[in-house]
Amino acid sequence: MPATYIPIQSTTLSSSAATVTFSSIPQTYTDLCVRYAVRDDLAGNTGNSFFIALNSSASGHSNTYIRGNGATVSTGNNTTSTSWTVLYATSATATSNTFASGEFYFPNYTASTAKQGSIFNAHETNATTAFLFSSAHLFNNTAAVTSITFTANSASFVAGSTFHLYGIKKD
Amino acid sequence: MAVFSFKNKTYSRSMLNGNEAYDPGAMVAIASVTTTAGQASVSFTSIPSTYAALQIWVMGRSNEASTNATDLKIQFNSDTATNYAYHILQGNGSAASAAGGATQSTMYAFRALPGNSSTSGIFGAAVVDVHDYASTSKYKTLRVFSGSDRNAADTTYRVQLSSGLWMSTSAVSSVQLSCDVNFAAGSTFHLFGIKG
Repeated sequence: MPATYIPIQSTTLSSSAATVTFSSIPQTYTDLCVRYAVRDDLAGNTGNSFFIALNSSASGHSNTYIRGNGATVSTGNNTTSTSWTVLYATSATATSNTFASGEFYFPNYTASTAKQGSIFNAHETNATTAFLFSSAHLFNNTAAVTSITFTANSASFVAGSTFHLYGIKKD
Repeated sequence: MAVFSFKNKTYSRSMLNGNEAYDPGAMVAIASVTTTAGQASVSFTSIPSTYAALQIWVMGRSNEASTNATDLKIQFNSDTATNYAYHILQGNGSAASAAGGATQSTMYAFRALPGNSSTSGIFGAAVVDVHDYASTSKYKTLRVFSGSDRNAADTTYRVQLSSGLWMSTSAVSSVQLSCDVNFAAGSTFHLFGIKG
C-alpha cells in the first residue's frame, strides 16, 4: 500500500540566505506541508517577520491571523499582496541556539480555483515575551502551486535553519 | 503474488522485481502507551536520532476527582531543572488570553486533560511537535495544539496553541509526560518520527 505522507525536498542552510525556495513541486499529491525551523540575523531584535509566497511573485495572497505575545492577544488581516507575512522568526538578540518552529499546511494545491491554507508558528525565547501565531491563508489564484518561497524580512535566515516539504496523498 | 484478505482487511505482496517499491512514507510509528488508572507519567525512551522531527498524539484524562481540566506537562531527557520556557495562546469559551514564562521546570499544554469527575469517556486531545529534536547545535522548540471540552460552560476547559523551549543542545532521547495528579485509565500516547 503506498504511503500517504512523502518527503519531497529538504533544505538545511549551511550559510545565511535571504530566501529559500521549493520549486518544480510535483503535481501528484493532494496537499502540501512545509515544516520549518527559522532564525534570522536581524540585529537588535528578538523576533522578525518573514514572508511566504506561492509561485514567486504571483498576486492574491491574503490572510487572517491571531497572535499572542505572552501577555496579550491580537488579531488582524492582511489583504491582497504578493506574499503572506508570518510572525515571527527568532532573531539575533533572542536566546542563543533558539529557532522558531512552524508548519505551513496547504490542501488541494493543484486546484484550478482559489485555495486556502494555514500556518502555526511558534517563536520562542527564554523570556515572558515570545510570539505564537496562527493564520488562515488565501491564495486567490487559479494556478496550481508549483513553488513556495520563504523570504526573510530585511535580513537573512541563518545557518541551521531547516525547511522540509512534504506531499500528502489522499489514497 | 499479491494477497488480499477481506476478512482481515489486509493487502500484501512481495518486494520482487516489478512490484511497486515499498515506501513507508515520512511518518513512522515509534512507540505507543495506554495508561492504567493512576499512572503517574508516561515515558518514551531510547528515541532514535534518525528523524527530522517528532510528533506525539495525546488523548488524555486526569485521574483527579474533579470536573476541572488540568495541565499536561512535558519534559525532555528527564531534565527537571529550570531549563524550559513556555508560551500560550488560548480561548476558554469566555475570553482569549496569552501568557508566558521563562526559566521554568517544564513545558505545558495547559488544561488539556479533563478531570475524572467529568462525563465518562471524555478525553482531551493534543498534538505535540518537536522539530529538529536530534540537533546537537540547537535548543529545542516545541509546538502544541491542544483542546478539551466537556459540553459545559466551564472556563477551565480551553483550546490552546502553545510553545515550549528546552534550553539544551542535547538530542532528545526521551520524553516524559505527566500531569498534576495522575492519568486516568485509557489515556493514549503515540510517538511518531517524521523523516526529512
